Amino acid sequence: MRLVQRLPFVLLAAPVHPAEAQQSDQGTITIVIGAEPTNPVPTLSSGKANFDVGNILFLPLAWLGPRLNTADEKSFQPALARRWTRRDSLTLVFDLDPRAKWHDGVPVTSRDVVWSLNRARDSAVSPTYALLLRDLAGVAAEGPNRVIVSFRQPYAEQLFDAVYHVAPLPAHLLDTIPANRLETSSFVARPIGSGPYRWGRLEPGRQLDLVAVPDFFLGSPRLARVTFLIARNAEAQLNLMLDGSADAFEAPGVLARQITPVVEKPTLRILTQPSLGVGYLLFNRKAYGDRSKPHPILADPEVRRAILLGIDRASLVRATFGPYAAEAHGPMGQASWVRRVAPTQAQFDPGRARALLRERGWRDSDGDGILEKDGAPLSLRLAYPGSNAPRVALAEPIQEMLRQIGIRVELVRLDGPVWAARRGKGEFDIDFAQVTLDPTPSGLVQSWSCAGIGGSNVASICDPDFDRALSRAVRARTNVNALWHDVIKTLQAHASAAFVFAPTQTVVLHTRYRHVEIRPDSPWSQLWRWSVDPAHRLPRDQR
Amino acid sequence: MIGWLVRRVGQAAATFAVVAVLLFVLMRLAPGDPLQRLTEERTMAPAEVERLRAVFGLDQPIGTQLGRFAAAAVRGDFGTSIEYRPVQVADLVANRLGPSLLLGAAVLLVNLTLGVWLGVLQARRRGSGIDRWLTRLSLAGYAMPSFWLALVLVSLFAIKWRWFPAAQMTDPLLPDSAGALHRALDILHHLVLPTVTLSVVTIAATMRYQRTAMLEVLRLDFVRSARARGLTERRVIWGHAWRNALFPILTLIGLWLPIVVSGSVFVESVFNWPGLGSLAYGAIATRDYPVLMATAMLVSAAVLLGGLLTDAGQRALDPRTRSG
Amino acid sequence: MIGPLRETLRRAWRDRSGRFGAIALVLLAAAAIVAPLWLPDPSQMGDLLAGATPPSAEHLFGTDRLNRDLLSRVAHGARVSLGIAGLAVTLSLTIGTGVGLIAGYAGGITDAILMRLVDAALAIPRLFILLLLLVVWDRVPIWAFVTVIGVTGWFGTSRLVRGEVLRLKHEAYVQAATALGAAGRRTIFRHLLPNVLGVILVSATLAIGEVILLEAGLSYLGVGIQPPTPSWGAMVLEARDALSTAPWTLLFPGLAILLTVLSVNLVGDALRAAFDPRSA
Repeated sequence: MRLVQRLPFVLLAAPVHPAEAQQSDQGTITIVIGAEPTNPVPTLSSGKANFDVGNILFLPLAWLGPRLNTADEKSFQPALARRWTRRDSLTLVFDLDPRAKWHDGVPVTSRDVVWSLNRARDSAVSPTYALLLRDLAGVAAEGPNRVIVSFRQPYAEQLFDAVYHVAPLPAHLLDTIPANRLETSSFVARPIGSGPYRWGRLEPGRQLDLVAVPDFFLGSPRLARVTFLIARNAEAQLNLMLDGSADAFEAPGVLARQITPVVEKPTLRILTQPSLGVGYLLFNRKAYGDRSKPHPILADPEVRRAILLGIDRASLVRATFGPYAAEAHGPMGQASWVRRVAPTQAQFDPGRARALLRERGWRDSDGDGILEKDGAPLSLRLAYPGSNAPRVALAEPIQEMLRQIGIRVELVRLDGPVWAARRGKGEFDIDFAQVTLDPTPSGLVQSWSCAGIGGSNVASICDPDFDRALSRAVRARTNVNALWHDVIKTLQAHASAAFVFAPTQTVVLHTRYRHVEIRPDSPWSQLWRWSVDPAHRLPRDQR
Repeated sequence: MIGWLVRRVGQAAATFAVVAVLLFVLMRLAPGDPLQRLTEERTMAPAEVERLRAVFGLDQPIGTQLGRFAAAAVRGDFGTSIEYRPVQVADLVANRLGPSLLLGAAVLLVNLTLGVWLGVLQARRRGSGIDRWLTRLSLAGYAMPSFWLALVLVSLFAIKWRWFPAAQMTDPLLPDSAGALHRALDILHHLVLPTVTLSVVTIAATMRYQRTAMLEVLRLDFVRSARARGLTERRVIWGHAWRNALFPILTLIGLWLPIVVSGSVFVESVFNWPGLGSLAYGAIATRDYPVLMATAMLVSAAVLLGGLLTDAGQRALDPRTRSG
Repeated sequence: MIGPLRETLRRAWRDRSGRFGAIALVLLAAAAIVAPLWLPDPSQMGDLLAGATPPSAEHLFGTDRLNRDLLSRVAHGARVSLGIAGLAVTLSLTIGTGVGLIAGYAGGITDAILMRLVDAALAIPRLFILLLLLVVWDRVPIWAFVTVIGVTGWFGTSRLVRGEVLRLKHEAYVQAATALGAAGRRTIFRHLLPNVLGVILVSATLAIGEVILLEAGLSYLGVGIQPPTPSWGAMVLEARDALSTAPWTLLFPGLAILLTVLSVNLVGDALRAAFDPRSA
């Protein structure tokens, strides 16, 4: 597998000695998030807020290295596992760090790891993760501190699959609860994790406080408290940064015009790096809210292709984001290596779009500018969350561009959680999605292949030739670039989605933080390494 | 007078009861289920949803719900917020009432001083250029959308010239060691733009009212007789007529009481002012019935009380009605 | 009936402010009607990369963030605002007049109950009720918008009309007509309605201004007119992000609202003064 090229911007900090932690350079950090993390337990939930908070509360077996190289076993960093060795081409052996403890004091043991992985591999209970872990053959404990993971076949990302998707959960607290009741258990309301910060207090709808674990085995965190401020509205998010209420914010895509007031503030700085995010218009193959019937309009690939051709993505992205995003050509973020070998998406061609629609029988019989067929107008609902500034800004111009080729688009701007729930049930025509993808392209199987239906594949996409190309590429050891080129080409041929923008990860951060390290896939997972410059401490750092 | 007052208060109380029933019915009838929204947000087991439904009494017939609500409300218990449980509604409202009252009082002050003075000026110079232009200007202010004026003021005074802060009630970076005076000045500094916004938009009504009242009084016989006795114009205005034009103050307080209490959703939105307006707006979106009932009833009570004050003021201070 | 009415209107016309307001309104209405014929499509985006450009010869009001001609958008917004205001106010006036007439004429228990309900409804903030009713839709359809605004705006009118009816009930000629056995309904329509008309007219003009402000406010909060239909309130909302970079996108829509509501209020004021000279 090719290396990911770009580096994160600031250096790694050396592990902090416990003695150093006694120093008075305590600090805090207040982070803005766009949704309430109601279920920040890895593998039990989805959503960016849950994911970001969960990655602070729970440690994985090992962290992906800063270069996000999913195939290089040596680049991974020890977390719960102190080291790992390879017994043979199908078996990995993990030695857990005996110092690792849960927040309730109980040591982390192999039982936790085995239970967590096996639960995630159970397709009846957790279909999404079972799909991702399909190449694991077995997980077993060998003593209290050793875990043996065996695989079905040799491939480069074995370590990645074993450690990245599932962070171990405390078996001693959870294994008596029936597997399908975990999401609603009291554990979720007050999670007990293994990470450098533990659950403090949640003020519903307002903020979440996490408190440092002073004897965290990898080094005492120098930020004593992490506070998450919940702001569901795109305008409010940036305002919290501008008026000094918050210290950090990972903008889901920065609009060029929003950035001016931030740039002018001397206490804030903007950190950018390519991200794994991508925004796209997803076309529902099945009827709105009814997966038993095909979608009357969007099941036709030529119509989907016409929509794709009707949007001038290049101008739109440049005008809206300035330098803070690139045009997307497939389900790959800027930081994904596949981006370099993938073909470009079909370019803006409204004439061809209109011709395609005409070929498929859509005519404007009543002269209102909107096409009809068999008496029904070419009318589609575009759903998106109001909390996300990029999508809010892009919705109206997209509506207008499609109107120019005869499609009536109704904008449905929803509250974040409502949007997420509806898309899960397939209640959309076109869904404006923005996701942060896995560092490895093999994660595409979740959302774009037949196997993902019932899970992340909310649009019910099922194209066998795409699935074949995908599994060929995932298994391959040679000729990798060409195979992935094929995968994306096939996806584009089906026009399953119109990929719009690949944002640059933009973090707005107060200038007083040192030893900052931000990962593109999980921005706050390394917070325990950060510190505050004592000369610039704020009153709220001292509490 | 007492008899009239008792009757009038009884009237207001009866209306208030009708308000409560209307609000309750309106909220339950309006489609949209708060619990459905909650379940969309977090994964909840159906049993948990049913339990919550019972806890909030949403499974009872509407009459029972109303009865339970009334019984609790009389005790001052407005229940628990659905969205922010387990926070009590009374606490939520109490937290937001202060900033609303502060902003409202500031606006009232401006109206009572500047508004009254300008209204008197208009009455004195009735028909003149000043009178006509003041009417036009104040009507122009009245015609402005408050959110637009707020944004214009912010763009000029907060962004371009940086004289005043753009949002919030206090400076979050104020050190802990700041004294009470420092904090008070900080709040005052933040208060200016929202107050100016609301004042510009409302001053027309005050001026119009004061002008009319003053004109009424100037027409009264005893003022004419004072003039006949040769008192200077100044003495007439600021001596006799003024005292009798005092009743508008009470009337005006009555007129502005609702705004004092409720603030304005738009102004609070632009300035991020933590008042009742934004609380109500948020509660509407989430269908948080207990919070909605409490805030709506509070504002309605202010409206009714205001009307009462207005009528009482007019009646008590108007010599004609006193004897009649 | 026509005679005294025409006299009153003539008196209103003599007031300079009222004249200004009336002319401004006519011009605005004309602009609203003429707009689609002469001005570019308000949804037509120009060069996206140029974004919001300041006023120039080509775009008299400049362009908004999507490089759409702002003058055209403001003019088309006038159609929306005036149209909605007209429809909603007509609805309010019809209901309000009806209720007021019934309450005033019937008197007794009917009157007491109706007015108690009206008092209660007046105590509840209108914006509150509107938001509660509108938040239910993902996208508020225009008919729903107009209906909801209309149905929440009749309370004041009903009180005014009832007041007039009560006042007129005791006028000699009405009592004479009743004594002569004229049927109740005919009495109302022939004698009461023309006199009540004055009150209704003044009420109407003020209501229009109020509805325009309400519509703008609701669009600003996101529960009003949906894109792609241009709405002044939504334009102000969009301009929020561009206060320092593109102030004209804030200025013109706001001025449009200001001018329209002011004109309507000036006309209403002049009418009120004309109907009741003592209040001037």
